[in-house]
Amino acid sequence: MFSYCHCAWAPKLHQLLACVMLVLLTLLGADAMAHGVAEGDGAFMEQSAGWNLIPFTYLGAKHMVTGYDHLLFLFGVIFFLYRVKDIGIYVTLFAVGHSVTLLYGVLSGTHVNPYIVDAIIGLSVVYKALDNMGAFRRILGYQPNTKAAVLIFGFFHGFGLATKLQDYTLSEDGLVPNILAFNVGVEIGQLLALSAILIAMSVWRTSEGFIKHAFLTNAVVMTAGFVLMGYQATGYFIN
Amino acid sequence: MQQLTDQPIPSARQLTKATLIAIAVAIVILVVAVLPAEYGVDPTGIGGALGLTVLNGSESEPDITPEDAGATGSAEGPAVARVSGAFATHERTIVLPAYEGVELKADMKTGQALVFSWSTDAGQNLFVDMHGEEHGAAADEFTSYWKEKQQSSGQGAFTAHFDGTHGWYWQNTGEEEVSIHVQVSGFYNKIYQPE
Repeated sequence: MFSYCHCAWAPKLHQLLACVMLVLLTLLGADAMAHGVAEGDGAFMEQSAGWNLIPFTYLGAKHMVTGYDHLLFLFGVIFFLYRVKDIGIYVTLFAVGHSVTLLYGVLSGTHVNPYIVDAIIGLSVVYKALDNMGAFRRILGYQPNTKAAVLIFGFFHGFGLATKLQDYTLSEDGLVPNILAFNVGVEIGQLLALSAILIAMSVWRTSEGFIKHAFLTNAVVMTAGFVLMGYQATGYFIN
Repeated sequence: MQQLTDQPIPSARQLTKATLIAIAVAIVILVVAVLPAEYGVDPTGIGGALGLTVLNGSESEPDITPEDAGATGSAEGPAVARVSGAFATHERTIVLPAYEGVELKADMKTGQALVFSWSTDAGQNLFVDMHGEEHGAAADEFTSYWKEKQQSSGQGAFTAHFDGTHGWYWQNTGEEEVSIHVQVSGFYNKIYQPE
């Protein structure tokens, strides 16, 4: 059968390039979305009163499609999921998790520190990468419940989404329908992003390289997760 | 996860090695690129050498970048600059003997602002250099904002473009003692006359 290790530490040039690309994409994303919600969009949200379902849906979808931290975690979650049914279950769990805390956080006015939440989201990326690498089965001797992990980290991703919205003074007029619309948009954006990831991965999976490079790929995802953690943890300490 | 359980699990040694390398690479990326670019934290100086700290210079002033600037539709920039810190006001008279110079400086962070007005009591002209320097800068490292050889009064609004001390150097070029009356209001940590 396959072995993870025979290629992992003798990467060829194209593997190195792939690593560099992934890390660069993470960094570009970090620059582009450093403030979570684009400035013009934030201005819109502050000025809008009453029901604005379509714009808020769009903003939710935009946030998810451009949210590199959420996407990295999703990428890790579906990495070894082949069946549509499994993908549906895990993505639903993630959606339920982050919807609960997004709605709860904004509607109850619960303010959590955005740096800590974003650092935990970085940790979720590291966790899922280690999980995919078989680290927990090796170290702990058993497989921790993957569904529970997706749900629990989904809660933290939801708090992360909530903090982005809470940066803005949202009008009480139409708040609940607008937040629900934002949440619907998040799910639409997630499905769109997921589709793109799945199309790319299904091509990749047909090649022999997929299993061969699985270990290295997850090691790179873990690196990106550590970068996110360090980025946010530093922000916490200096702000 | 079914598919994966058929695979041999990597050894603890391989996992440890991969994790340590991931952490090491992440630290390098953070220290060299992300922290200098995002926060201006640049312990190695590499970020600055790469020009990444420039990104921070334009992004580290959220307090004075109004989020709703677009709402005014003005191309001339925001009417209001939001500034953090405590509001302070100082007024003092400095007596400057013949041929002597004196400094008055405010310790300010990037984005903090003050308004000022000063004048000599009898309208005498002085050599004036309004300038600033970073903390711990060498004596010859400073930035001049407004320099005049013959000036009897000055007023305006000033915004610090970097963390450091910002203020005035007045030099009495005449044979008579001159009194300077200075008023400053705004956002700064302290204002003082260096020895």
